[in-house]
Amino acid sequence: MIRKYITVSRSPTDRDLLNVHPKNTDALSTSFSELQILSETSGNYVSKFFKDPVTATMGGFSRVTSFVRDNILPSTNMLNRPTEDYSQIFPDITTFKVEQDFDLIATTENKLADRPEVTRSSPLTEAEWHAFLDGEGRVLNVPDLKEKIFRGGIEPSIRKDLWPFLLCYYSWNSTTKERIDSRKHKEDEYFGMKAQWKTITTEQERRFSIFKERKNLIDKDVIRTDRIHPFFAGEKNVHLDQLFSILMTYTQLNFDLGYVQGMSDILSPILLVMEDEVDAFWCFVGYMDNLKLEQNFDMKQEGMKNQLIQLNKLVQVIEPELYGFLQSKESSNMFFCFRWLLIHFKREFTFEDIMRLWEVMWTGLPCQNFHLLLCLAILDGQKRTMTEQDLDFNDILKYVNELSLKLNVEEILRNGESIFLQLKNTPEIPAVLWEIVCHERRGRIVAGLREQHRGHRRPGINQPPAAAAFRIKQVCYSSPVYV
Amino acid sequence: MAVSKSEIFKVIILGDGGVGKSSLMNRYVSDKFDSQSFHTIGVEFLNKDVTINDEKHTIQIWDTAGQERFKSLRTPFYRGSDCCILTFCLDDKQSFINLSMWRKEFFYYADIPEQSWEHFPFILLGNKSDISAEERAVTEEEANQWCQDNGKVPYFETSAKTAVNVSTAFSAATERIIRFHSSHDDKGAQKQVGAINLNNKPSNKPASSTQSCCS
Ligand SMILES: Nc1nc2c(ncn2[C@@H]2O[C@H](COP(=O)(O)OP(=O)(O)O)[C@@H](O)[C@H]2O)c(=O)[nH]1
Ligand SMILES: [Mg+2]
Repeated sequence: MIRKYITVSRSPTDRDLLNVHPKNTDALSTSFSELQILSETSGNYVSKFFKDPVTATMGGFSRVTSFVRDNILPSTNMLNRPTEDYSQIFPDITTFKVEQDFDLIATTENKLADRPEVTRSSPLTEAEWHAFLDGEGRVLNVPDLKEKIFRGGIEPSIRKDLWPFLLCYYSWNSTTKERIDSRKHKEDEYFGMKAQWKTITTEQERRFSIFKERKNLIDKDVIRTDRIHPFFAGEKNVHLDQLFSILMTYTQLNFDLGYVQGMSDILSPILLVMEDEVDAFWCFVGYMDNLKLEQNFDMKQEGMKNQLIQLNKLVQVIEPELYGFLQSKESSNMFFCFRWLLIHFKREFTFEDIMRLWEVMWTGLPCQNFHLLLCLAILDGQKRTMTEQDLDFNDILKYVNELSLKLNVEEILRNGESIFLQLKNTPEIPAVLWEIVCHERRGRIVAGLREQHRGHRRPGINQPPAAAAFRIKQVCYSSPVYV
Repeated sequence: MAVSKSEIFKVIILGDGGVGKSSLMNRYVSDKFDSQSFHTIGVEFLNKDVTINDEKHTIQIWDTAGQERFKSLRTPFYRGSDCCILTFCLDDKQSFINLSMWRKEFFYYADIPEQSWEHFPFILLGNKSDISAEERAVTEEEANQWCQDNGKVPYFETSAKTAVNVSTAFSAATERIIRFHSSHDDKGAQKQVGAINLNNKPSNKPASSTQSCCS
């Protein structure tokens, strides 16, 4: 596995010389951070590197480049890349391809399984929901319930009952009485934290710039959050005050993270459904903490960068033609999906649709990082237009931004599941992809299996052990991510 | 008439969050003002075709989310800008104070060589001129002084809400670009410099600001 042990960089002394360094097993992530694909210092050697395909076509790498040339970029002359400045700005994560995955390439050479048709069903009804509860209000058979929600979502009238479970505010095996008790605690806890910022005086605030700044920021964003929706419309709307209070209190709970733009978008549907400041707060906290949305907002944006990289890998394998196209347009860094990822498609769908999409995602089915497969599902529906119109870097960004409110949520959920099944049914799934879609806790077991089999693999050829491939199916269907 | 591909001028609007960057862009491009608009996430741009002296140009206006946290995802788009429209709003003193930070950030990430700073096409907008006199926090004199101190930047008081001065300001920006290009007939070369120079950042790294600056 060459990729595990080397990394490539340009020699500081001779720009036509590439250095190959031995690396530890973190090679992949390390070279990625070296590339800093999306950071300000990005341009540099990556794009220069790829302006010169000859350099890239060397030794052990020739297979990769020739594969790219022959199979992915039949008509694209690498020397003839767009001359726009963006080629410098966002170097394609093309380098990635070189130092990375023989696995990926091997699989794209092999055929992926077909994408099966899937059907979706009707939303969970109140009667069905009640049938899942025992006499004391415990939820029986959580996997079935989640499967049902995954298939059809939840009827709007009972979202308020279900969302706290999906967002880990209530635990599934609690009784009704326990939930009432715990809510009391949670209420006290909330108002305690709220009092902390509420009691800061103007005089204090004047000398407390971080606080003042955050308050300002939240203030400005709240009045620009979903104002077209009747629930948030009009002047002096109490729901705007609630958005404000919840976000302020959240920064009190998670002071290090603070308020980051996008959080108000995440909160608004939750508040609309929960209709209560305390409950909405704890559901929001559940989304951020337990469902790990927090990673989207971290200071260095590592979480976002990481997801863009994961998306890049998935597109490479699952949509190689689209990948080739994106590469030729300097867009394979997937930056144009930034908004989708940051706020989990919130701006792309109507309120009704985003609630459906989120509750499906929150089941943790059918696999980890299903939202990335949903990105692929959206792209699948657009790739024809994008390639036929031969959109360039700017146009791709604009085109994708303008998809907002034009997408069909059921179609995308179906398509996303189809893509999952396609992966699942492909006998040789590249290891890098397992890590993306598989449950992390079981991931160790899968990784362990891979270790055992690594010795039997010919370098550069992907031969995931059948047992592990089998396990991935098990893991993905039976073990939701977020419980 | 000969059909020629119109030249694209890339204009970037920078300034603190909430000063009205997106509103100005929408006012100029679609002549609309939406008081219920969203705050910007990520990066967006709009095109507008204009004809100046019988020549067609496309003004491509780039608008970003300004929170410090998203800086690394925003700044790559500065490169290749032909003009930077710095924006503050008249009822927010802090947004005025932060102008210098934005100017530096722009120069740094657009990789404009220091010798061009004086002449690079900037425009300063004081937005929300429709507000009442009591709400005003920045005077015209203060703004003009800032312009004097920063390379004689033209200043306009605009309102995206009422459309006052918006198209005037963008026209001025376009003219500045054209003038800059004709006086520095090395636009291409200059961009090249940036492209080659990527590893060696200019030394004028802006002090990282803790000021609020979100769109
Ligand atoms: N009164 C007034 N309000 C404005 C004007 N321009 C924008 N706004 C409002 O100011 C807020 C911020 O505007 P926005 O365009 O989102 O700012 P951005 O963050 O800089 O893009 C919104 O609520 C707008 O409705 C203006 O010219 N006058
Ligand atoms: Mg904006």
